[in-house]
Amino acid sequence: MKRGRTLVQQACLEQVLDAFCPMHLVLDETGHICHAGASLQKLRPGSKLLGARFLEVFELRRPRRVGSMRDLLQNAGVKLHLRFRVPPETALKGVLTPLEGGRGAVVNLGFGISLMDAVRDYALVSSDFAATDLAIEMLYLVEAKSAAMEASRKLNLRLQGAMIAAEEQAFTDTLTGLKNRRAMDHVLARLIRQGRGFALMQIDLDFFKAVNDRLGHAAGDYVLQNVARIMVEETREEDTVARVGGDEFVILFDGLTARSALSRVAARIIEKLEVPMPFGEDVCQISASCGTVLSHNYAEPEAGGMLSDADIALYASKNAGRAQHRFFCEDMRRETAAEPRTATPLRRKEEGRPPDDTAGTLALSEAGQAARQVAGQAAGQAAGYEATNLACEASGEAGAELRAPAGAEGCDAGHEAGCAAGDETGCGARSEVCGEVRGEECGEACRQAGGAPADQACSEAQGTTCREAHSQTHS
Amino acid sequence: MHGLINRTIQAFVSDTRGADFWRDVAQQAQLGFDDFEAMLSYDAQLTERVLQAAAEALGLPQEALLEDIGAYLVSHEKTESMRRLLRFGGVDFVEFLHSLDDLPDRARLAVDDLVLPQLELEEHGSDRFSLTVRAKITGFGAVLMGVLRGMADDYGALVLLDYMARGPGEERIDIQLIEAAFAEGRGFDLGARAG
Repeated sequence: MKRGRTLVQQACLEQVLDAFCPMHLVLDETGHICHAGASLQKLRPGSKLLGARFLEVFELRRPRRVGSMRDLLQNAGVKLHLRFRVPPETALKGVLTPLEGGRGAVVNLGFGISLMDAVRDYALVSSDFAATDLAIEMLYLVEAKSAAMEASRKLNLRLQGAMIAAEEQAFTDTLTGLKNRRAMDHVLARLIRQGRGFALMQIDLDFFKAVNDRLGHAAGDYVLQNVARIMVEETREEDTVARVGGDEFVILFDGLTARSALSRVAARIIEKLEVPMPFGEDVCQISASCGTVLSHNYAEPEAGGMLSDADIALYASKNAGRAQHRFFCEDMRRETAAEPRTATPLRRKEEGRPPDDTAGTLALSEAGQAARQVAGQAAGQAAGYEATNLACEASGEAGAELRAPAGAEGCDAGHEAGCAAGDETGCGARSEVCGEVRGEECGEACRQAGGAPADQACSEAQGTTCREAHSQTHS
Repeated sequence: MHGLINRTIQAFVSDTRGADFWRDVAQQAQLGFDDFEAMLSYDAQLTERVLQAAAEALGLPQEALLEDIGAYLVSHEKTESMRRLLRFGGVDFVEFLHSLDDLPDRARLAVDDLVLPQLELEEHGSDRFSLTVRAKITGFGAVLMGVLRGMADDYGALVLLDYMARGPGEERIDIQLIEAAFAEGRGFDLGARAG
């Protein structure tokens, strides 16, 4: 009778469990499975759960050392961490509660975090879960969050791409595609930090202004692009070629400090730059002056000092007649210290002038500006301009710096007329025209520029040097 | 307006008519850019302008455009994840209808700044329902028409839908379920993730 009532009770219990807990098991007193919820049966198709020993189907991972039904019952109410012994070895969570009168136990199981895998591995559907189970909500959330994350990830990728492009742009000189001043500063700082040997070469184009003035900015841009290409071609991939000003460049040679090799590179660059560049029906002809410093010549290399020394070397090259390369040496510093002329465009830029300020590098005082306007009407050509420039510099007066570019620029501006006339009448005629006009007009320019004591010297020097330069050029 | 909503409009236009067509619409609407970002917010005016431009370009009344967008949202292969998320709402169409009350909250669980209109389902009989849509702006109801039509197909149910705008920000859809299992419908596998 009592047994009969127990059976009825058990049947009722199983009915309740089937409705509420599709993942439950009923164990008999020996620890064998005597009833299983529908979902759990779905997890082990084919294999017979019913009649199998619970601990043979499941591995109890926590608490450990549970080997018998007795051990299991001692862990009643404790959170169990289990795993199927046969693949798929889905991890499960569970809790066990003993049945009245030592008749066994009920174990309820759930997927916990392994839900995602279980749904896929066993093709579960929503009716496999208890109506109160949050499994479906969790699946929904996982999918919704994944979709939202994906959208965010795509946005981040696009933003990252835009950031890289913006950075690239911030470090690139848009005209030439070379690195810009900012990028060069970064690389230079890095080279100094790394402590490896490197060389820094400053390059200033010669006669570039003449191209710009005679043929216009389009020609100037074209020349700069050619120059950039040549510099990139003549350097290694690990070197940094930067345009740091209108017609000023810096090359950083990573790991290269051999003077002979650097001299060869400089010579090649100059040689290639001097090859006339056809532009439309015209020809652009330029050259370059270079100055180089080596990191190992400094106890503690420092960007500002290296740039300024390279600049001194560069101007030593300019003073020696341009189109050449020099390594910096201390003597140069002493020489230049004696000459106020060293406040050169490059050096002025060191003091914070924006790199692309081409006009700024040649910025003149108002008087200079006026002089340029007057002198701009004169005729001349590149050789003449250089001679004029040198002649003015040679006067060595305090005001020379101002006048030299003034006269020089003015003469350049007049190129077109001068050259046209010269070309028609031949070199001799050109020399004459150029010499006369230049001597006169440049002298005028100098006078307007203001340095009275220097005027005479300048105008004289210019007159003769222009002529000299011409006959040299055309002989 | 949330970027997801704007992005949906863009996706609808470019997936159904091509990227060039969309660019023209974007230009017509004077967006100043070509692509909406799903995870950013935009001025509501932009949404209005783009809807107007799209309706004009497609030669559709705005309501029809919105309904098409709703249907696109749950039936196009590129928006499979949307269909799946809605299918989580219920095992059959009626259960799905009842899950719509929770839709705004569900959406907020995933994207907490996505504000969807409040939805209220009323059951007038086992086969007659009405869905009231309340939002700051009118138009969501028309989108929902498309969504319901698409989801009915998805569940294989045959329904009659009737839409009416009832005032600013309030729309109502009457739903008559003719047959719950009219057609096979599309399958829904809990474990299969939308690609």
